[in-house]
Amino acid sequence: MLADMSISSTDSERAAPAQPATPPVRAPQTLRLADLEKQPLAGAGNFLYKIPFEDGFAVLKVYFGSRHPALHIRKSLSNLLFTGRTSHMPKARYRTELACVGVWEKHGFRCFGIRPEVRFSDLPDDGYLLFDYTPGQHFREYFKDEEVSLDDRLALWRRFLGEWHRRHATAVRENEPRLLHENGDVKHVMLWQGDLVYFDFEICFRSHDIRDLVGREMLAYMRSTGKFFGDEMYDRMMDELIEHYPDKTLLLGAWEHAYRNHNLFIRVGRYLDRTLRSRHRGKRYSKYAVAADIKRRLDAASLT
Amino acid sequence: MDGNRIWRVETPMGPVLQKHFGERGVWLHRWAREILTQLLGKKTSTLAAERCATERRLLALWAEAGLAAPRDLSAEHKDLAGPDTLVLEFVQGRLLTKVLTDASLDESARAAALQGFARGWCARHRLALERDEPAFVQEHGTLDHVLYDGERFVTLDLENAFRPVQPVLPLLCKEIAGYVRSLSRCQDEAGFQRDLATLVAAYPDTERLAAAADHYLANPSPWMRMMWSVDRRRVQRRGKRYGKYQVLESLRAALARA
Repeated sequence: MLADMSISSTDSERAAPAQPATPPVRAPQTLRLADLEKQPLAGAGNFLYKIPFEDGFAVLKVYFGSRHPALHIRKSLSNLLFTGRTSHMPKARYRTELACVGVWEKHGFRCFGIRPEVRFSDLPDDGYLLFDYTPGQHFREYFKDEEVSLDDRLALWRRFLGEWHRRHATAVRENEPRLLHENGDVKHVMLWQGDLVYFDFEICFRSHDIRDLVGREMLAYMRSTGKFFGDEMYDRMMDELIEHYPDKTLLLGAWEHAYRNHNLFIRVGRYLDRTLRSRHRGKRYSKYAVAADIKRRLDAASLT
Repeated sequence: MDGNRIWRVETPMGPVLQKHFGERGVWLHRWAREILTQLLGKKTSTLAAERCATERRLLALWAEAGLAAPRDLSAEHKDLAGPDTLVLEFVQGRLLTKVLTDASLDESARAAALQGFARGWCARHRLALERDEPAFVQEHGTLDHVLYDGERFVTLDLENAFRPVQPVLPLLCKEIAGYVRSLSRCQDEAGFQRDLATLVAAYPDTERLAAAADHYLANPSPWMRMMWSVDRRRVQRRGKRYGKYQVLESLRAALARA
């Protein structure tokens, strides 16, 4: 089935996935977390629980997590003053996640379904979100799964590339930084009911330099393919990326992000970073190494 | 990144080319060249965004005039176009230099290619003179910038152009010299002479070709003659097989024989 999922078109011409149907109006209900049998799930900083809900399960993400408030303040200051991200404060992350899911779904990208009608009486308002339980297959696992044929894995990757480009092109066209995955990598995409499902949007970028953000996101995803799937799979996925990602200029943005940032201040900073910081040296999947690899492959693919 | 990149991209409407214009050289060299270009004022800007704008403008002009150049498809593929990027028609063909250096090409096919090219070339030159339009003259004229698909001779690389502040004929002469020079590189001396004779015979307006040769070899301006005499000696000292002056002398001889 996956072999049929190849892409070969540019975005404007490719039909967007059908918009999610208007969510059904559900009666409000109030629960108490303390009364529920909760199973902690992986999550850094936030509390993340799998809880029984209706006839199945749901996932509760509580933004007031295990971190000390001072850490939230420090990270928020860093985000707001230096890194151009949204605030790290719990309620701000709640608002950002809600807004991002809305924007992504509006453009036809599937995210975890949200259950806003459910209120928890023992949790602070605007400090948690209840998501539909989505037991899909993480990209991180899928691409390592030896039981799935290599052809099927690469077909899914090509399908992802088409959707990836459509999202990037939409972000550029709409000047919408919320369509870019701040924490984007193969850990935050899954395959569920035949759809690609994206999650973890609690922080996003505030900059409207969208092409640069696209480049950054590409590096983050491609680095993660190397780190999680190994050299051989990385090479195959990179080959597919260069061949099938339609907009090569946007791809080149990944290299420009790392090496030729048009913001002179950032460019000097990156130069010092890659020259002086030993942690980047010799690492195959540092952002500089991956950016240089993308550039090398794009140069090889160029007809000039 | 140094210079342009051109990628083939598959779309549902068929393959297209995505041409990304990159800056050339390190910043000091780039700006020195740009300042010199602006001071002389005869050519369009050499900066990437300006070269992209020039190519976009020239492609529109050429298309409007019915001249063979790749179509600008940026409006139809907005997602692939950008401030420094054009989406161009993918022309399924071979560079004319590759065709002419192909040893397997028989003489009649070779002559047909040269004759077809010469007729279209002459028609473009005539149009440039009639409209007094330097945009119809190729700034970097060479057979390396012509694609031959068996029917059409499609001219590529219009990112640099002459500004409309100068007479068109000397610009045409430069272009003709550039093309003849590139023709000289396709074959050995005897082959070049044969190709040149074919080209001259097929080019309807031989006076224009003669003017091109005279522009360099017998320019009425003593100042220009002196400049080119110095340049000619410099080229000869470098021992190049085919300098601009040598190929133009060959052109003159071919015209005399014709």
